[in-house]
Amino acid sequence: MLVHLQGPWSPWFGRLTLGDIPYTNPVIIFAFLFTVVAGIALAVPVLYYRKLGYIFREWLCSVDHKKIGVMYIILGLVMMFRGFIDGMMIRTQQVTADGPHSPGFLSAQHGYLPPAHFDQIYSSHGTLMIIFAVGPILTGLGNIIVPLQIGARDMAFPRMNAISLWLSVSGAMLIMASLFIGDFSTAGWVGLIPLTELPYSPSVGVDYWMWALQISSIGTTLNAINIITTIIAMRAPGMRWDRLPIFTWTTLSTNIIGLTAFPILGVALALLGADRYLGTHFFTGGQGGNLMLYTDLFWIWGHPEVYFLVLPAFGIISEIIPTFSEKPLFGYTTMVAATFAIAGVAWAVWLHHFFTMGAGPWVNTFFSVATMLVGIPTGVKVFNWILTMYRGRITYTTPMLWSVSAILMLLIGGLTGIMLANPAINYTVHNSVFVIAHFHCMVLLIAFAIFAAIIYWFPKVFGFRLDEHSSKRFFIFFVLGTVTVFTAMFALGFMGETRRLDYLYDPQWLPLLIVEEIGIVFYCISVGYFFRMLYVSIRDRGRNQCGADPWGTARTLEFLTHSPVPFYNFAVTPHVNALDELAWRRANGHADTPPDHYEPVHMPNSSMIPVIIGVLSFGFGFGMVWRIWWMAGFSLLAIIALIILGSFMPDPGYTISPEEMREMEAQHRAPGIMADSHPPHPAAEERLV
Amino acid sequence: MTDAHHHAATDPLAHPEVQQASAAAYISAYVLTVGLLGVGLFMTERHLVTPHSLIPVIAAFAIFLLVAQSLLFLGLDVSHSNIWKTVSLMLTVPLFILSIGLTVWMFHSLDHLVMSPEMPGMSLQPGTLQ
Repeated sequence: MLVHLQGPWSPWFGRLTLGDIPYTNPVIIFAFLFTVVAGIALAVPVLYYRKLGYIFREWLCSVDHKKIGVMYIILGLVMMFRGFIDGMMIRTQQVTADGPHSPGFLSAQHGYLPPAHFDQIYSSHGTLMIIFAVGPILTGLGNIIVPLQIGARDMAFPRMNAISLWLSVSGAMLIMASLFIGDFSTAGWVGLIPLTELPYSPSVGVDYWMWALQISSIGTTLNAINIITTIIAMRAPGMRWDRLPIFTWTTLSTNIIGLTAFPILGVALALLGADRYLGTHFFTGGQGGNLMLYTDLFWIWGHPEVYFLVLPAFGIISEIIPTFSEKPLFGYTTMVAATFAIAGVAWAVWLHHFFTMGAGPWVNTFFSVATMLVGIPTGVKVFNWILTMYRGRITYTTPMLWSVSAILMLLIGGLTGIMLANPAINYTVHNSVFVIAHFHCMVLLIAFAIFAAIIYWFPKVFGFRLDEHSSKRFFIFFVLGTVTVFTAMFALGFMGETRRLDYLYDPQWLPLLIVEEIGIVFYCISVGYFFRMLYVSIRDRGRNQCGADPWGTARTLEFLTHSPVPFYNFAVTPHVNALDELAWRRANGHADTPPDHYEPVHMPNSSMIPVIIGVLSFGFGFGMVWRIWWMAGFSLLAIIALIILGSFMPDPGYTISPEEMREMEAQHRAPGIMADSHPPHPAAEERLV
Repeated sequence: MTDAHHHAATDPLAHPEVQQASAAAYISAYVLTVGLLGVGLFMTERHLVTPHSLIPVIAAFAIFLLVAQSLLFLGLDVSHSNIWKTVSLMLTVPLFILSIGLTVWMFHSLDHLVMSPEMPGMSLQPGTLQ
């Protein structure tokens, strides 16, 4: 039943041999040394300050939605950094490999990367940025903010929340492993068919890509279930649907997309896996297979996935602009309606990714019209934001700068999107870098919103503000980089440069390629300022401490509780009286009223099971990639056994008594996210071990 | 929060949808699932009927199984504890029709336009499915 593979295979190591470690490639050796140095730089302080136990107990085993959110965001930022380095390598290869007289370095004929290596880099750039950078950061933000915005203690299923995180981490670790053991897919982040089929990609690259996506998408689906349940079932008293903060609305709509769309990706990848492992013919060119079916299935997920990413970004912008305009959001109801309109239309536009397939004028017209329809609710949003700012008292803090620039990116990306939605134009620029510039504008709008959100909510979670001086410089250089790279890229698209080229044949493109490289230099400077921002903020954290509302003009419920948010979120579950509860309380003089009595608070216990499931799913993925059947089989059985055992273990959680709560609140010694949480409960400790 | 609510929140087994669970329903759904999927696989592997009549037969199995599973596994109804499951199904059905329907339309049109029998070698031979 299994496909017969050429090359060595042994029962213990599967396809893995010493020859699969690319120790002769200088680029990879450099990447390896970089990773090792970064790992040592992280490990030494942890060991020196004896924090290993703390990290294991308080973070890896935590089911606290805020800590899980922070870990999601750290994962996303690390992967974004790696994705950025990939992008930098792509740009540098193209600028050095333009024209027949361009020199070759290392083992490349032109530029410094041979084609097979270059192909792996653009594949991992896309996969990392979309699935493992932007996705986890937005999921992490939803994890932290949504329960706080609706006045909940935690997510509906705290342990499943941790399992989602560790599944995403294990997917990301598979991609990291592919850098040093074996190779990565050369078929792009979309998995170009039939290139992903075994005869054309016989190495383990496609398997790494496939299993990393598969494992992390299970995590995303579980997280979607969790968030939807939390929003439906865990709202504080008085938090009616018409008082739900807009970020929570967008997170709800995005997770409905996540829940309905991600299983399709799972199916598409599983069928591809059946082709590669069992020798079926779902997507092969002949033998009854239909390779366009893969493209169809992939984009039925892939387009909703794009809105899965953009809707929370819209939510972030809709939270930040009212705060720094000191006005309520203009058109709350239309904003919610527009969000769900975009989410709904998301299901009927996917074919615009392959207009040129030849489905004919009627099919193309339908999808073209549907795609252009997306412009209407998006336009509603843009006008709502502008009218919120109109005659507002605007302060240009960094989150506001990022948000306003995000609107500009949305305009450029959106209008070029409308151009691409026209099949006649699409036929002309299909597969050119014009398309790349378009969707980078859209994804960078999401990145802008992400940076806005990180700076906006950071003080809420950690209790001190990020340094405005360096974060403004980070913003300026990032925007400069974006404008420089992608203006040139739009032009190159019109000049006929197609995407994914490791060698460019037209020397006339060189000036614009150099402009793009200058943009990359701006990006590098901005990354430097990002690290400086973190360093300065942590160094000066004592001076930048802030109260419950670090910005003074925030409007939503999460700014009601202390900063940093204590592990129990709210000492007393708040009663919600209005949309923009905090603004209402401020206006009515209730913002600082202490509660008159406390009630027992029920909290979930930490658990080791999620992180073990994460490690095991990495083992499963690695075993499947290298066809080490014992490893994959053992890991899968162990996961199933753990889930069954875990559900039979009684886990009653623990309760904070009103007296304890009163004491913690009175002395302001409610621990923040970095401290040890509650005084350890003997029973909880015991269960952990 | 009432006592009953509090109890339901701490004891998972007290949830009304858990209380509905019945071993008989689960076992019959399991047997049905394995049986019908097995028959479908067997018919496909052994080429028991022609490819054109195979698809409706398998589709009928699948639809029957969907209904059986949603009743026996999920216990779909409009009671307070199960209403959200039913709402989810209501949401999924149009999405299902949209994605499958548009895909069928697209492939039908594609087949008509690019697999025309006048083009040598492009027609779908019945033999290629064997």
